[in-house]
Amino acid sequence: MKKNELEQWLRNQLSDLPKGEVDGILIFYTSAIEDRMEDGMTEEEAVQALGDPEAILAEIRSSRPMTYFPSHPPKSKKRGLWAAGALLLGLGVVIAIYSTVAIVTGFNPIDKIFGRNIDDPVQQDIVQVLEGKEYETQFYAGYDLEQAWTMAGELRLEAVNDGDYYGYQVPHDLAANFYNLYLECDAGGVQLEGWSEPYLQVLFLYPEDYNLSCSDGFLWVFGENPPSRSYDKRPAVRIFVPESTLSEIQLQVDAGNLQITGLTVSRLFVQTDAGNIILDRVLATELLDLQADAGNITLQSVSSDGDLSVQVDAGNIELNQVDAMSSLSFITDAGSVTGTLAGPSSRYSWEAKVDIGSSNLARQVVSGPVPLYLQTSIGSIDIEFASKDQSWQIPVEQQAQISSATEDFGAVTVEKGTSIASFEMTSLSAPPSPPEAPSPSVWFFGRNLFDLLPWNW
Amino acid sequence: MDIQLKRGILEVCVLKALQRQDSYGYQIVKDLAPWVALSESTLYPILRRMEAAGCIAEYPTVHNGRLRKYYHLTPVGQQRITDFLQEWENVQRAYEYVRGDTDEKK
Repeated sequence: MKKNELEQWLRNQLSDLPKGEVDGILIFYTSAIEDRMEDGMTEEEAVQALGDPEAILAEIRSSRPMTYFPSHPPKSKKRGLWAAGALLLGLGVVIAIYSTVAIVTGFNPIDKIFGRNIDDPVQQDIVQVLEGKEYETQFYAGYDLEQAWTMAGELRLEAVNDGDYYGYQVPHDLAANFYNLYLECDAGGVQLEGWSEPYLQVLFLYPEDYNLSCSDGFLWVFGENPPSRSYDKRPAVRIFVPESTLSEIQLQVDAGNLQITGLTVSRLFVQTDAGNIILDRVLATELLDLQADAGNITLQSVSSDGDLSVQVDAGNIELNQVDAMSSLSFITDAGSVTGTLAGPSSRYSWEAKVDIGSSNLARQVVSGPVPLYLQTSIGSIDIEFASKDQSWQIPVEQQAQISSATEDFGAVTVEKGTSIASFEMTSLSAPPSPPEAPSPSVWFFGRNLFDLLPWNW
Repeated sequence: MDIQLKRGILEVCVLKALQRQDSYGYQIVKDLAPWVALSESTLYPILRRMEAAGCIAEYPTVHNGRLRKYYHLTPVGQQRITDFLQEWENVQRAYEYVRGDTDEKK
């Protein structure tokens, strides 16, 4: 097999991955071949030395961060947007290289960036431009760092000083570089918030504890607190995310409370060791998975268009207007499961298991299309359902008002400026057909004018 | 060998290969060859994991007109090597116990 053949074969096999990621993978493997050829091997020998292509493919797949969690390829519709974004970014790079070289001639832009004093209350523009082919960028959220690397592309960060917090604003157009967020935090709370600004903002209480990088479609945030760091009640990390920008968010928090508000994301995975988890107005369009060792979990106006799963070893699960289209699962070893679900009882078929404790639900009921599983070893189950079938169904004419006012639709309260406006409540299950009310009629050239009104479309 | 154990050992070997100087795929494979048999296809996932864990940082350089990925050991990676060496003493004791030497000496 020739180098180009292996390259093309891998490209075909990995066509579900983002192009930038595949390019990065192929640089690694083609270099391995070319390095061997420089060592005197023939092309065929060099390719053969890498081993079976199927094994290479398997190793590449196994190395993806997603393998830790259930894997879903990004939506193809979005990919088109990313491609367009990348193209725009490419044009931006050409322009930016010229303009930046003109501005920064005579010094190393990287030294300049990380040599700056971020304490300056005036917001600073940071522009980092390096040549190359890839939109794969690595950068750090520390200002004492001596080196930084980027595999080309343009990286434009704006340093932010927000009270005691320091961090960066990452413009929306850079989203071409990542569509997922991964955060691993040692200690200290994490706050994640959807907002209407067009850029992503990452703030740290102690920026020197954190390492921020961007590759493989992920914005990676890793935090490790030095032993000397005293515990602070304030969240250690605050991240503001433009609405519906990210496909996937994975959060791993060792100790500290986690709060997520007003956010829409395709897939949300949370794992915590100790600390409470609060989700308020969160919509996952594909999957929502929460796992905690110890701590209470509170979900308020939370919905998943796919599965919703909550598991905690020690802690209560409190629900308020929670729903999912495919299935719901709430499991605690020690603690209670209480609150209300957004749908009526006729929407669910449930199993409620309690070893030691009480339950207000029958052990097993087959009723609606959505499986609901509740379990506690020590604790009680006290779950209410929405009383009316239509309670979670937003009439079309009211949907139009959501973005401009606070509306109470019974099951769900929708506030101005939150991502809840994208809830498709009517699609949660087949809503009951509206009652056949005798409609008034005004006849005009043989047609009833009332048939032409929007709610009759 | 247990796959987790083997993986952990290989990871530390790769970190060690980067301790003296920054290196790239083929060079790492060659440097480790006298000690452990490793191919690039095995090395690649290790590098990705180590990078994700903050143990190494990747940067490209141009070599003979083409891109080559170099890897740099970070302080986190350095700490990982130190931790491994400390932990190994415990593993060694467990090994001796399993091997039965402890019982035979009694």
